[in-house]
Amino acid sequence: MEPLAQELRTFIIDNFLFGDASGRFAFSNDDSFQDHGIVDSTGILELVCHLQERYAIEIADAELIPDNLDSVEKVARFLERKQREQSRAA
Amino acid sequence: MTWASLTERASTLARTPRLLLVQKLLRRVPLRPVDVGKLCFLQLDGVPTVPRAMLRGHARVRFATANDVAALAALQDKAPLFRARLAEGDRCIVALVDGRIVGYEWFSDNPVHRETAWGYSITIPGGYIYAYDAYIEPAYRNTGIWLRFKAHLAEWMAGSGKRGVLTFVDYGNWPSLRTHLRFGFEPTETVLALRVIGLRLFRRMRAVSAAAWSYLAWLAMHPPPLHLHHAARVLHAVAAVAHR
Repeated sequence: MEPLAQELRTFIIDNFLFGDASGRFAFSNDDSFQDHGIVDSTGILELVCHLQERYAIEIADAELIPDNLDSVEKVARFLERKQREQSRAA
Repeated sequence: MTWASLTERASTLARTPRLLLVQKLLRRVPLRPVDVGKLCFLQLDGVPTVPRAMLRGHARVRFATANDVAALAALQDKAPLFRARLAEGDRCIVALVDGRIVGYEWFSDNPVHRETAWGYSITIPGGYIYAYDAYIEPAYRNTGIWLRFKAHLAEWMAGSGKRGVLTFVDYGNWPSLRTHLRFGFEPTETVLALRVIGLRLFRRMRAVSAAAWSYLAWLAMHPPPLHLHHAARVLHAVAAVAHR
């Protein structure tokens, strides 16, 4: 697993599943957070705050969409894209 | 149906608690003569605190008035119920985007609130607010409106001398349960509800089992460096034991 995806996965499990990703809360990196009951809409905002702080990126309201934030894989891809955009702009 | 979807479905069923399986089956029966559910009550001792960084979007919130009933009913067709709630003194916070109401949440500080879905009477402790029936239009569900409701409520509570919030989450709504735990709510009791035609039966259960209490007692004797998330993790473990 990519280090970034692993890091995000650890954050999700620690903060939203209180460390327990077994049994009914097991999920893969492609599983939808909302469909699998992993993170709700409030949790998504907590995740966004974490991404902004931890990776020093700015996330606009228009970017708060499931395509960017609804699975570990999607978040990892979104984050990599944001980092590329910010380094080009710098 | 493919083999993969069949195994996915079987795995989902295997992971679903028995109560929810029974509930799903009962709710497929026409006219729903029998229904079962479990209400997980949670209490926050204090005023909700919402980090400013999490207040996203441009929704505006305010208390609803009787003039808003039509707009509320456009979201959920319950105008008579909304009018009755306002007449009883319950408060409703609404979220507006471009002047249109896109969500609401109800609050009561009456001594007793009769819950709508099951007809269960909830005793609201003095100084506490009971938060119930929140609805946000699907298009606005990731925009932090629920947090704006809580921030507005906190402001009002601080000015009104209120000291806590009571609410319940349906058993099985894990994301909502965990969100409440992260925000400092603690499980207080669970109520098993059974409805057979017109007859309603309730069984109240303490949310924390004896095993969980002794775990908490052990923690009190051996305090770890508690951070909000660690505290929430303990509460989650307690809730998991209690709901087993």
